[in-house]
Amino acid sequence: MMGEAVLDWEKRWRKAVLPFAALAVLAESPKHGYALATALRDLLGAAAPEGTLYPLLNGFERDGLTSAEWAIQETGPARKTYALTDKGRNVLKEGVERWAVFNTSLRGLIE
Amino acid sequence: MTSWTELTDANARAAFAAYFAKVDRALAALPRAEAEEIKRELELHALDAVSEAGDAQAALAQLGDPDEFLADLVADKLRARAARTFSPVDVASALARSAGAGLAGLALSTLVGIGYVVAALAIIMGVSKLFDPAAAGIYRLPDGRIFIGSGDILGGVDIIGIWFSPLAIAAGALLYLALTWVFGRATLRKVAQR
Repeated sequence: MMGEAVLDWEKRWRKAVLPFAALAVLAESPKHGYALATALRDLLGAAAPEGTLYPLLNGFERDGLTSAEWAIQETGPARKTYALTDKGRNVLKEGVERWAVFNTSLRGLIE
Repeated sequence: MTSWTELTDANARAAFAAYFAKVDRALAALPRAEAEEIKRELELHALDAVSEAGDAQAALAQLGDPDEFLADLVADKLRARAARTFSPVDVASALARSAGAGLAGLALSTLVGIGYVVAALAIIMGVSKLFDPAAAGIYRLPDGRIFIGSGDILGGVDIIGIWFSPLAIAAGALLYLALTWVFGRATLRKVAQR
């Protein structure tokens, strides 16, 4: 019973960090939707249906955090590829700083 | 593989056909080019997942129910379009879609909808005063209170007279523009439950 509660918390944490993690993954290199989903799956497990990434990416693009273009691939069809903009990098940097403060506070509480 | 129609397995093709028919319905409110682009992205995503997992049903389940994850996306895009065009038709379409995209969307549409009703009333009162000077105005009542509205104001003094018309019309139009601008930038982002 206790274990179930903790698993439920963990599931919620993973979902909550999804936008932050998506920006961090895109900061490494531009990616198309499936590559981003795969990277996030490796990082967070199956936190949410992968289709939910597309409303998220649409919001990033609308807010100017990412830019997107249909890029020709070496093999296979053209893919819509998302890249972090300067604004996106700044937002991510601020997020990382805030996360560090949050993490430090939490560690102080639980250690 | 560039299209699900190239899948060799008949069951996989049937699963993709049913899934993308649902995607088409979910995206029907968007302009065709925009809908096709989103559909193409989802198709390539699902085909990649099939190549990796080898199972069409599992790949589509991993992508999720289009009715759930596309509702927010469509509502977001319609709001953004309304904020670009300021067309009442686009605004009405965005309001209806947002209202159907969960509780947060319903709350947002209700609040913004009330704002639009206020804007419409202001414009109607402003226009009606042009035809009937007693139709509406800003009145000082006998007890000193100020009343803005229409109807028979017994003993009330019309403070600004015909100037009420341009002011009410401008206030209504500005409210409409401001609400549409804000509405277009509102975000309804939720991560669907698995």
